[in-house]
Amino acid sequence: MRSLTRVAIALAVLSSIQSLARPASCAQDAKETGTITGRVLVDGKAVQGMIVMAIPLESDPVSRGKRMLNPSTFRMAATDSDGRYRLEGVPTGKYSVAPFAPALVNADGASEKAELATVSEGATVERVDFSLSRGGVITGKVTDSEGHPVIAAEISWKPVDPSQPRDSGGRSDGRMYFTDDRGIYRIFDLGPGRYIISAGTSRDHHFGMGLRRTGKVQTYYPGFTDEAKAKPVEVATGTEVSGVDIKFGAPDKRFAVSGRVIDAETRTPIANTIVGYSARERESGPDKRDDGEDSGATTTNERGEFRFEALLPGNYKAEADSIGRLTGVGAFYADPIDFEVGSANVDKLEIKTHLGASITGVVVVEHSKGGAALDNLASFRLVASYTGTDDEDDSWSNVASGGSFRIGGLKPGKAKIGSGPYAAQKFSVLRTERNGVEQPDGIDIQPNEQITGVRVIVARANCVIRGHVTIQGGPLPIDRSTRDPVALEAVARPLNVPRGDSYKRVPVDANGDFVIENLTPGDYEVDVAGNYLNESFYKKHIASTKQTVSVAGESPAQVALVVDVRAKEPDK
Amino acid sequence: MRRLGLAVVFSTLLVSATEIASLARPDKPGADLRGAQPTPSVQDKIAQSSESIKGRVIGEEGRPVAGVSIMAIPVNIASNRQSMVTTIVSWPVISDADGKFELTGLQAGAYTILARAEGYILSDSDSKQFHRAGESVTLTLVKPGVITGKLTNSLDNPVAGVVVRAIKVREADNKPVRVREQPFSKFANSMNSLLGPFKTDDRGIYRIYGLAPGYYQVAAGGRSWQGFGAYNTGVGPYDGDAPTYYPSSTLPTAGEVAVRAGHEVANIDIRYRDNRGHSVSGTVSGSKGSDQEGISLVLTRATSGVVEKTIAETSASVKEKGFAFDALLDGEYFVTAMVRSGNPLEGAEGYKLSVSPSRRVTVSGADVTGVELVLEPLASIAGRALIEPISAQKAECKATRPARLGEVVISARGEGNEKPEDQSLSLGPMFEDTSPNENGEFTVGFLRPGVHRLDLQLPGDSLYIKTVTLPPLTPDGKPVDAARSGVKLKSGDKVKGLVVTMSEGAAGLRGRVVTGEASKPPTSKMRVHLVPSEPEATEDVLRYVEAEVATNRGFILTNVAPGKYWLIAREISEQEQSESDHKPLAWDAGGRIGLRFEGEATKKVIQLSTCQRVIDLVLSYTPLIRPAETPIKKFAL
Repeated sequence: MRSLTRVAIALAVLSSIQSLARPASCAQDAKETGTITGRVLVDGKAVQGMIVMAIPLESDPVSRGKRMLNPSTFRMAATDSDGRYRLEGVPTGKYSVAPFAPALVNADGASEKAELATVSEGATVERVDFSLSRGGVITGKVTDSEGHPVIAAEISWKPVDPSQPRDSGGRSDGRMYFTDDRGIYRIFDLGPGRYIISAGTSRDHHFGMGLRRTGKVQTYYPGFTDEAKAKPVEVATGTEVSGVDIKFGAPDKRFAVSGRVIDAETRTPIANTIVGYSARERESGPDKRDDGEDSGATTTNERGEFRFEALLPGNYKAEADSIGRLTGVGAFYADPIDFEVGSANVDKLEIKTHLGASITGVVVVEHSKGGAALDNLASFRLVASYTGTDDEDDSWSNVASGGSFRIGGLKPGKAKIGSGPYAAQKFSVLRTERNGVEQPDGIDIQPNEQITGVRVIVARANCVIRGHVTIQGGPLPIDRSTRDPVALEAVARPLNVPRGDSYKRVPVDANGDFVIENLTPGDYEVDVAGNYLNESFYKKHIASTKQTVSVAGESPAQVALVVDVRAKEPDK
Repeated sequence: MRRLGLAVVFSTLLVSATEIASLARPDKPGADLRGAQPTPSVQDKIAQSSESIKGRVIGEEGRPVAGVSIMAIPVNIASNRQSMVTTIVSWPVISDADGKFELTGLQAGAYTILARAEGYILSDSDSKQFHRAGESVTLTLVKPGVITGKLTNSLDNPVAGVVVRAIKVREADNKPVRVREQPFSKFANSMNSLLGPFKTDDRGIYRIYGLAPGYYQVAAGGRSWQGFGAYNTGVGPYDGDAPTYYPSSTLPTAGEVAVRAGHEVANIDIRYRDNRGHSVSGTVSGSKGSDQEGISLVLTRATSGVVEKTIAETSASVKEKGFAFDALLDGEYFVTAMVRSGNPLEGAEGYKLSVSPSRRVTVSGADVTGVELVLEPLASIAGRALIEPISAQKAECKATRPARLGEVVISARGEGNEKPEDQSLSLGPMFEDTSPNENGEFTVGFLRPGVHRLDLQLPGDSLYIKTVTLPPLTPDGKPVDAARSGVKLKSGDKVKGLVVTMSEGAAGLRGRVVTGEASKPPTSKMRVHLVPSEPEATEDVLRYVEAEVATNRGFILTNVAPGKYWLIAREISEQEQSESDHKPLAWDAGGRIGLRFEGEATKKVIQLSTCQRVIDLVLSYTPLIRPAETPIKKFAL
C-alpha cells in the first residue's frame, strides 16, 4: 500500500482535489436552542479564561467530516473567575462538550475529556463539569547511531499497565508527537503511570513524486528494537521527566542490485521499460519489515540496464513490464526472477522478455442499438486476468468509442476478460465470445498468438440493492475516537464475476437503511460492518449477518441484515 | 497474499487514477488495431537514447551530503504523457557517501531537479535552474532557519495547542515573494504539510523549523485553508479567529522576522488578541464542468501577492451556497477562483483550467458580500520551434556541443507587470514551462487573458533567437513579428502557428564594469545592455540583450545574435529593484528608444561575429546626466 500512498500523493499534487465526497446536508438550520452550563476546575481550583467547546455529534460520517472542516458549527464559551461557563443558543441536538486544554488530563488520567450532552428546546443542561489536572510531561532527544538528531521522528507511547487509559499516537484532534529539528520531543498530556516510549515508525512518510522519507525501525527507550527490553518511564500529573533520550541503532548495510532486461530469443536489450523489485514473503517476527524498503521500481536505460541502489539483505523477486500494459499497447511480457541479497552487491541479473500474444475485438452492449450506449464506452476499460493463478498479471485496455479494443503483451494461459475496478464503471462484462462461441472459462492464449474476432458483451450497471440492518442485543457501541455510535458500512461483493470488479461500499444511515447503486446484473453477497475504538482505545470490529441476493433489471433487490452487538470479537 | 512490487505500482496507478488509463490512448484508436503483429509500444520507441544527469550534493562549506533523495522532473511533464508516467513510477536516487548521484534513463531534454534531505533545503538558485540530460550538476543544500517563541493570552498565561504559522512576505534579497516556484517544492522543501501544523506545547512554546531564508510574519490562530484543504489542522477554538500577528497585531503593524540559513530566531513571543475579523463572500459563475470537480478560491494580499487564505471545495457546494472567506483582518485583497476539469495527467490536451479575473476587495471594519467571480477558460499558444544550422564552419563554432530542440524551455510571460492581480495566482511551473517535442512542436497552455511574450531559455550558449513570428494577417501579408508585438490573448483563445526560429552561431560577451576616477561608483545595482546599432534593427526586440551586473562588477551576456551593438551600463532604479519579475526594457517601444538614445550618447560600439566569445571586456561607466530613478519610459514621445 506504500505505492498507493505515494501515487495518491502524487495525484494530490497534480490535482489537489478532483472529485470529492457528496455535499453533506447540515441540520444546522434548526431554530430551537438550549443552554449548557458547568464548571471547570484544574487541580481543584477555578481557572479563568478556559475555553469550553460544544461540538455537534453526527452519526453520518460525511456530516462528521464536514463538521471537522467548519468551526462555525462549534459553540464556545470562556470560563469566568469562578471557573463557570455558559453556552447559550445551542441548537437542539447531541453534543460533545469539552474544555480546550491540550496540556491537561481528566481525573482518570486520560487526555480525552469530552462529556456528552443532549440539548432540548428551551432547556438548560446543567453541571457539565470538568475536574482536570496538569498532564505529566516526558521529554527527551532522539539521535541516530552517530549521535545526530533525528528530525521529525514519530514518537509513540503506551502505558505499561494495559488497564490504564491509553491514547494512541493518532487521536481525534489530529495531534501526533514528532521530534523537532533538534531531535527533541515533548509529550505533555500524560496521566499518572508508567509508560513505554518509542521513536520511529513502521510507516514511510511520503512527500509526493517519490520523495519519501525512509521509516526508522521502531526503537524503544533507551535504544532497543525489542519491546520487551524497553525501560518504562514513570510520570505523575504535573511533573516533568526529562532526558528520556532514544538512540537508534546503526542502519543496516545495504547493497546495490543491477542487471538488464533483454529479449529472451534475440537477446536485444529492452529500453525504457519498468523494472520493479519486491521482497518475497517472509515469516513475521522481528525480522519482518513493513517499512517501505521492500519494494521499488525504476526504468531501464537504452542498453536495457537497471540498477537499484540500496537493498537490505533478503530474498526478492524482480519483474519487468512496459507501461503499455496499462492501456493495451504493451508488446511483451517478462519472466519474473528471484534473487537474494546477502553480504555483497548483486549484478548481472537478467530479466527475459517474450513477444506477447494479443486479443483484439469489439465490445457490444447487450440489448442496445449502438449510438449513445457506445459513446459511453469511451471511458470503459477492460482487464484480461489469468485464471488458475495467483499472479496479478492483469493486462488492461482502453475501449475506443466505436467499441473496438486490443489487449497486447499477453503471456500464454487462460484469461478472462472483465471490466476495470472502478466504482464509476457504468458497464460490466456479461460474457465473452470468440468467433461466435462463448468462452465461459476464459480465452486460451497460445504463445505469441494474435487472437482476433473476440466479442465482449457488456451490460449497463443500473441495478440496485436496498437494505436494512436491525441492531439486536442493545445499542450500537460508541466509537471512542468520535464519541458517536460506530459508523456502519454496507458492502456488496459480486459472486462469480471475473476478478477486477470491485466491492461496492456505502454508508448505512441512522435508521439502518442503505442503498447500493450502479450494480450489474448478478449475484452479490451483502453485509454490514464497522470498525471503532472501544473505551480503552482498543480497535474493535462489528459485523452483521451475510445475505446473498440476485439483482436484475431496474427494480431493487431487498436485503435484511442483523447486527448482534453481543457477539464480540476479541480485542485487537 | 503479498502483492508484488510491480503489481502494486501498476494496480495502484489504476485504482488511484482511472484517468491514467487514457494516458497512452492512441489518438485514433482504430488505426492501432489494424496491425496484427505486435509492434513495440509507443514508450519503447521513444527511448532511443537515454542519458543521465550526474552530479554531487554539497552542504555548508562544500561538504558532501549523503543520503539525499533526488529526482528529475521533465519540463514537458504536463504535455508529454510518457514523461508523466515515467516520473510517477520512478523512485528517487540517493546520493552516496561522496554526495554523488546519477539520474539515469533520461530522455534528451530539460529537467528541474528536486532534492530532499533530512534537515536541509535546496538552495534558492538551484531550485530554479533547469538542467539538461547529459550535464553534470552541483546541488547546494542549505540548512533552513527556525523561528521560536511563546504564545500567551491577555492574562499572561501560556496558551497550548494553537497553530502558529510563519508566512513568508519577502525573499532574502528583499524582493517580493516569488510566485513561481520549483514544481512540487512545497512537498520537497517542507515537511510541514504532512507532519501537520506547528502547535504550541504545554508551555505555550512553538518552534517552526524548515524555513527557507527570507522575511516572515508569524501568525497564531486562524486558518490558511478552508474547506477540504483544512482537514489536517484538527479542531480548535482558535481556528475561526483572525490570526494574531507577532507581536500582538493586525496586518498593518505585523512585525517581520528575518530568517537566515541555519539560524534560529528566538523570543518571537506573541500575545493572543482574539482578532475576530470579517468575511468576504460571493458567488462563482461560468463553470460548465461537473459538480464533483474541485474549485479553488485564493485570497491574496493586494500589495505583496502573499496568499492569505485558500478555499478548496466542490463546484456543487460553491454553486449552491457561494463562497465565504472567514475571519479576515482589515486590508486590501484580491480574490480569484479556479476550476480544474479533466485529467491533470493529460496535460494541456485533456486538462482544462478555468480561472476568473481577480477581483479587488477592501476589508475595512465590515463584511464584504456580493463578490462575483466569473470563470473564463484559459488560452494557449501553439507553435513550432526550429534551429537553423550555420553554413560557415568557423573554428570558433566547433568547440560547442550542438544544442537540441528538446532542451529549449519555453514559457509565456504576461506583459501586465503593473497589474498585481495578474500575479495573484500561479498555476505552478509544471503548467507554465514546456519544451518542444521531437518535431519542434510545442504548446504553452493555461494562459490568462492579456498580452504575452514568449520566454525562451536556451540550452548552452551556442543558440540565439532569430525570429518569433505569427502567421500573416492577410494571405499575401508578411508574418507578424510576435517578439515585438507579443501575442494578445482573450480568454479561451487557442493561438496557433507561432514559429520560433533559432540559429547556431551565437556570440557571447563577458566583462566587468569599472567606474572612472572622476565619477563616484554607483551605489545601486546595475544592468548591462547590448543595443543593436544598425538602424534597421531598431525594432528587432530579439537583438536587445541585457544582464545584471554581479556584486563583483562582472557581467555575462550570452546567446547574442551576431551584429553591431552599443554596449551600455545602467543603474537599476529603486522601483525596478523591487520588482519580483523583471521585464526586459526592450519589450517596450519607449524602452528601446531610450536604450538607443543612451547607446548613441556613450558611443561604445562593438562588433560581434558568428560564434565569437569576447572575454575580459572592460566597460567604463559614466552616469548620464539624469537621475537614475527616472523611468526610462519617459523617453518615449
